[in-house]
Amino acid sequence: MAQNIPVLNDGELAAAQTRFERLLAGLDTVLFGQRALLELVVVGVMARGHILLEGLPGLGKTELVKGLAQSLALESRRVQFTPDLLPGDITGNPVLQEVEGRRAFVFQRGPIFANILLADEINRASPKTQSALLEAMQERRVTAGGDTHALPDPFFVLATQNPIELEGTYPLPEAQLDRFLFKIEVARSSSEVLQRIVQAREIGVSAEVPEAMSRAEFAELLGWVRRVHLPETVANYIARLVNATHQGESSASAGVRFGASPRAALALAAAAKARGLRWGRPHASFEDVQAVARPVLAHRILLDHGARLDGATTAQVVEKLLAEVSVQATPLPQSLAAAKVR
Amino acid sequence: MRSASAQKFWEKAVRALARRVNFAVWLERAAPGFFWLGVTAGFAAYALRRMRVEADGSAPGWWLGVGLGVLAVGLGGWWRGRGRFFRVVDARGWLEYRLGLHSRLSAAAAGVADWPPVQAVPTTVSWRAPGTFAWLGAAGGLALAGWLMPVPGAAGLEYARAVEKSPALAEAEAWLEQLAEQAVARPEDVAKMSEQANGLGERTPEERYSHSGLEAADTLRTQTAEAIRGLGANLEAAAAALEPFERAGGTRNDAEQGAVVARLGEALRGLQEGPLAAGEALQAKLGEAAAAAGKRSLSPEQAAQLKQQLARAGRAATGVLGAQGQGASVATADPDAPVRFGPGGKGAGAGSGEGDEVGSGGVQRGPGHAPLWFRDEASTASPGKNEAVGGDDFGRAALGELLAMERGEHEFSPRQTGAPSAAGAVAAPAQGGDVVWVERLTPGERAALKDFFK
Repeated sequence: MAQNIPVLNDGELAAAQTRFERLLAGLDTVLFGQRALLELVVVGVMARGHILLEGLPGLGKTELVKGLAQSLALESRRVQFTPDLLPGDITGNPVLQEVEGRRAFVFQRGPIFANILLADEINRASPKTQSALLEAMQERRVTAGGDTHALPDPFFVLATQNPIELEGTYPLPEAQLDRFLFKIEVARSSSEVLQRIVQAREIGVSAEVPEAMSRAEFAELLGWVRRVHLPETVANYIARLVNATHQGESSASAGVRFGASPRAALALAAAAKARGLRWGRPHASFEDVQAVARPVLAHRILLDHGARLDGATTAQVVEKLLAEVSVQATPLPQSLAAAKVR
Repeated sequence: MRSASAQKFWEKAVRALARRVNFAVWLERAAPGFFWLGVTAGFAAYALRRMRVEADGSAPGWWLGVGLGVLAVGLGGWWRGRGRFFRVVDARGWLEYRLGLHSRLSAAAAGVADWPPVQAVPTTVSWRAPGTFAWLGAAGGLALAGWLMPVPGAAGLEYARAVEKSPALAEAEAWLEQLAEQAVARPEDVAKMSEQANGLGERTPEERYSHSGLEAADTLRTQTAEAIRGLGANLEAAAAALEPFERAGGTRNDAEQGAVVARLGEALRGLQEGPLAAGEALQAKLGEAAAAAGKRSLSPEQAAQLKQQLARAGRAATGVLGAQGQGASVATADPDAPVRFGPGGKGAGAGSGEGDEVGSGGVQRGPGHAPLWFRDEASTASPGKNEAVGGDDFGRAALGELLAMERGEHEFSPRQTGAPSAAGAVAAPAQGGDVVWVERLTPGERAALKDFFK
């Protein structure tokens, strides 16, 4: 099937790269000094994935999402998740109305009916409300009152969560975590970046982000990402990498209780293809897979108690996996070693 | 768009990498096999050389075996490593990753992207495991050792093998040779005895110097000597039997004539019978003389001439034996002087000695004399007197032979006397009693005792 997809030509590659650069340049005015974070977010969006941003308050997570929506000229809604938030508050509720002289339930769309849903502090909502997002994130539709309603295309959930306040929070269930393409940790900025922020920004005034591309251009870009070629060797690498997350399949997975799902392999492939296009290539590479492996795999791996007591983290497991799993299917013999090339 | 030369270049580089990796895989898997092949070849080469079979290019079977072994090990290495060989896609993936080409080779091979421009391709893999080469080095070393290690008794080491004939056999052969030169015995009889000697001489050195071999040689020597002595005695008896005929025949009556003729006939039969008969010419002359004597026609001159011939032949025959019977004896004039073994004794013959003198031990075994002597040798290994056998040339010594016996005595020091002391002071100069033993302990024994009493 993938072989029948037409190959991206040089013009399309150049146009894609230009759009990426414009988008990143616009976001750079919102979030200073977080180029790596911006790259990941953009790649995640281009891979049609949902993104979970985790970081301390005030680091600009919400501003980033708002800026992304402005840059892509997409409709965005923001929901502040609280413990008393109900599923219907997000998806919408059937409301009894009089229509043509008869009383009937009419579905009142919730804030989820947007291109970008900013789920702020998603871990503050109850599991019931969080699970209301499951169908929307996976199927891109909402079922209420027996009726199914399609969500706008494109549809992304960009959620944030605060890792330090545990009281009154509900950690996201594994099933929902698995639906996020990336889980990205937002780090604090350096003093130089802080100085830039102080000089350029003001409290209460939102940054104006120029539109990087039209909705049509964005849709075209999403289509190009799907046409990026995934070489057989890279697909094999992704498969071995995901398989190695399971206990017993590699030495790096020693403390892993549950490994990554096949959805993780699909997510890796999609993210690698998006990253390949971001760098103007018509194909994904091993380097693309390695670049997105940590945000894709880390939140999909569950460690056992022993490993947690030892202070191990899933990010460390992924790093070990990358070091252990070779890019080629057949490992080098013991009598040979990789020579220094670069 | 797509450069054919670039494609050719990169595909060639990928195949070269795959070949190199696969060679390493094969070598790694075959190295233990090569080691055992080297061990086997080394042992086989050494064994063949021990058996005096040429293990070189002149033996095609040898090279065929080695070749088949290499082939079998090679195939075994391939079989063991078949699941770990690099395919082209593996080599391509490795190369593009190591060169930072971002999977461009794979994409180009799939027709998605252009082949990268031709560039210098550095080495992306390097040898690191000396273990593989250690296997191979050990295999080669063992094979070479089997090939080059000196074989006892092989060319250049003949000195280690006593290949001389035993003295008894050599002596018997010398007698027979001289006897043949003298032409006093019938050649057939001499040849028959020589054949027996040759049969013993053609045995292997091990058989020649075995007990039975030495006994056989000694018996042959004794029989030869007895036969030669018998021939000499018969010739002298024949000469003596002719003595009455030196006088005129008319002086004897019939009875005397019959007696001397009968004696001459007995002498003639003696020369014709026995293990060594006289030569045909002597027998013929004596036969004619006996016939003439019976007719009283043998002149005194003829009898005297024949007597001289027979006496000369008898002396020649016994002269062949020469001074046989010289044995070894021990000369110990000075009791403190080293006991020396060597020639110079007056043994009357094989296995006998005269008076207090020691003979050679009976059978004339061994390749010759071994001038050996005892000597004192200081040692702390054991108390008492240590005696070692010394000599200028051990090459001809027959080990296990009783050389001599001496009464050994422990050394003691009468001067080291004193009051009794506590037990355990054994390493110190001995004390207590009129005569004490001088203890000599090995360093290990001394340390063990020291620890025990600490």
